[in-house]
Amino acid sequence: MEPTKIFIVEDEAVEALALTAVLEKLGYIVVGEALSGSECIVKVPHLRPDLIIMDIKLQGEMDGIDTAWELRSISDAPVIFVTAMSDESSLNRAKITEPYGYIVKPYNERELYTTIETSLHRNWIDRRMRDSETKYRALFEQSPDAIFISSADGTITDVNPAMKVLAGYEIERLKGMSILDLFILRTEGERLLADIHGCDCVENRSVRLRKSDGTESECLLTLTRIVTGQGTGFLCQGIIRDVTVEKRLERVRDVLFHEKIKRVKELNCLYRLATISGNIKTPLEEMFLQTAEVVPTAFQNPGLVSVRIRFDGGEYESPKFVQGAVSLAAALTVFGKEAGSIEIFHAARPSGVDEDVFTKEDRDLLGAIAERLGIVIERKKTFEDLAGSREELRGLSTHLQSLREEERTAIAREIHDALGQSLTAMKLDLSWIKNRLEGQGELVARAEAMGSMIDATINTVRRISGELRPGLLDDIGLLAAIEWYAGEFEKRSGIACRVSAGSEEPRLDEKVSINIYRIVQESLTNIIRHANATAVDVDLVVEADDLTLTIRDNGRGITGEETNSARSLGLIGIRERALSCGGTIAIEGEPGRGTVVTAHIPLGGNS
Amino acid sequence: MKRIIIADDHEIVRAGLKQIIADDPELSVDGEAGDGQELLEKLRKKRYDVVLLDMKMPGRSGLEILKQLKMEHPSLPVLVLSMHPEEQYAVRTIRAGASGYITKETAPERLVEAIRKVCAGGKYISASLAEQLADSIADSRSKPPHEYLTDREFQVMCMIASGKTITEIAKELFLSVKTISTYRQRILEKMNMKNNAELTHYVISNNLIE
Repeated sequence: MEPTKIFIVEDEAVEALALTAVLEKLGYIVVGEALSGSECIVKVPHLRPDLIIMDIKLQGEMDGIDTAWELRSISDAPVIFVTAMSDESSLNRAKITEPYGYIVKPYNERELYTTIETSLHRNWIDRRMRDSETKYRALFEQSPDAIFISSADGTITDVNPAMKVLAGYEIERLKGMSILDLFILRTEGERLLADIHGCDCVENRSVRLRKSDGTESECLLTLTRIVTGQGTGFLCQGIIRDVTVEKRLERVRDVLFHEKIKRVKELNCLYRLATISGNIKTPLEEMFLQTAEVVPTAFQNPGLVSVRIRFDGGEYESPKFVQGAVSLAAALTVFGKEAGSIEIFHAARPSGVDEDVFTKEDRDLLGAIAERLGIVIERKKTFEDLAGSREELRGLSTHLQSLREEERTAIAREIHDALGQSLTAMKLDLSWIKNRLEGQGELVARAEAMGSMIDATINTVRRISGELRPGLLDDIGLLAAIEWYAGEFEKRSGIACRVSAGSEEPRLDEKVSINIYRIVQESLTNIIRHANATAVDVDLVVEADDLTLTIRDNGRGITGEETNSARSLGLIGIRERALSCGGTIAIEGEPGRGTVVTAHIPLGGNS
Repeated sequence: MKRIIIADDHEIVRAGLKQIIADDPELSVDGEAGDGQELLEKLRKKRYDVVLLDMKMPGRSGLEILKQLKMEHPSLPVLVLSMHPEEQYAVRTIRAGASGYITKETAPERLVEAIRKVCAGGKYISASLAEQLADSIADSRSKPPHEYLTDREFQVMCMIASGKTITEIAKELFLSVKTISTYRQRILEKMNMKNNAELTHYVISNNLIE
């Protein structure tokens, strides 16, 4: 540690010399001397001594006390006065300059040392105090938070500029005001002051203050007791932070967050509704119930919300339905007409007069749901109508088909039986007559010609009747009829047609028989017309509960386009026939390798 | 004197037939029936030597009546009369137990001959039908017999020839054993063979499978 540097101000050179000797003996360094006050003022700033020993009585314009006063502004080194006698008035004057000590001549070495050390120590403490004071002051002045100092009863003694901004009063005006005057609710301030009497610090109390212009602010106030040396009372330091903006932001954020959650719930609800209504096969009733169950989930408190959908005389309610006091409704519009409604009930009443349980967004949501439901109902109705008319058409076609078959059967039978049998009888009679015309050549020849004519007529009758409805189908069975038709087909077209079967003549329902027979007929006709084939295989397998018919040719192979063409009436007919027996049909072609028609008909166990 | 019963739902036809038969002193029409049920009842009450059965009558089909008739009277000869010249009818009626098949077209000339033949325990089919059957036989001779099999039949034949059992084939083709057995029978029929060994021999010697 460096030795303490001392500056001596003494107008008597001898005295100065003696003092220097003593000081150096005590281990100090005397960095300079001045014989007058003015010399001292000049030298001290350059020498920067740690301590100044000043004789009160000095020659010249300034005595020691004046010099010390002047020095206060250029040096913070402690000053010790040296005096020969203790002159009351001089000492009182000296006090103003806040000296660190007095030494009375002649010097006592020990006293000198003690006084110097004490002064240095006190000066060090003072300096630190001053530093922290400066720092505090800077903090106080520049703090963005408002700071005030008040007495225990709330009377303001000091405020910083931020406080001026916060309160809206001039600093001078604030000093002397009571802090309670700033509170919107005086009781809030009184409670705070009461609280600080019981403890050292009240932290971050939420308070509401009013500015001079009447605007209100939300603040956090921290009040700390400052124990002061003098008196029994205490001071308070209050730090106020204006959180009005933060609070407002917080509220906005809360609202936004809330809104976001609500939007997510709504979206989720709409998504589920879309899934429910997306399934075209769900019956309307089922869809309404599911919708009623899902809609409450879009609301803040689904437990308080009930939903009822009215449509077409039916009412569909959400589970645990409660007809709440408050409701919101939207109409279901189907094909431009109001066809029903969807209502939302809320179990809780609104708390304020102006307040509505349902927000604009809720109404929009309900509107959107109602609109969507309307569209879905329209779509479902259209779909059902379409499916219905398709079903009707199919039914009609099947009915016409069977009517046609019945009619054909009747006509075929009529022609065959009535005409055929009569012709047969004629032939028999003619034969009887012929047998009795022996020897009458001309008559016999006539009779024979007549017989041939009758034969030809019988053949024609048989052909017509067979075309209308093959007798074989009813007399013997499907397989025989197919075999016969295949034979006729081979004769007519030159395409080899082979028939195989997995069983003896199966016993089949008349409807199945005729439809399978017609499928074979239609398929073979198609082969003649389009396939360019040289051979056809027809295979009929009848198992216990299932009939499989396969017609395979070796022609060019049907294309996918031809299979699906709406103009392929023959194919449509084939499909309809299979369908009318509850079966399925597959028509597949492979280019250059032929076409396979496969029909599967379930027989319901009666083979 | 052979006693004949005629079953035909058309009286004029029965009358015509009776006239023709009446020309032969050896034959006499002893009974008539308008439908299958009546015929069966009359047969139960009285003995006849031969039945003239119309293929097509109201109610049950001629084929069904024929089957029932043969069950009740196995040795009674039945001559089936039909409007239909198609072989499908003839083959099936003969298979069902008829002794003869004659179309009404040829009846005036051939009926008496046919009745006599079946009464004597023989079989009768008309010349034109015989010709048809012969045609189909002759036709099938022009090509190797396996060419007359359908794809499915050919497939089953090859499987049999490769040593597979009926059960195995049924399993492989997702069909019943009964179905495969029927296929086998039809194959043997078409190929004019008696058993699997012959089939196998044919398939191998014609290099139909590897």
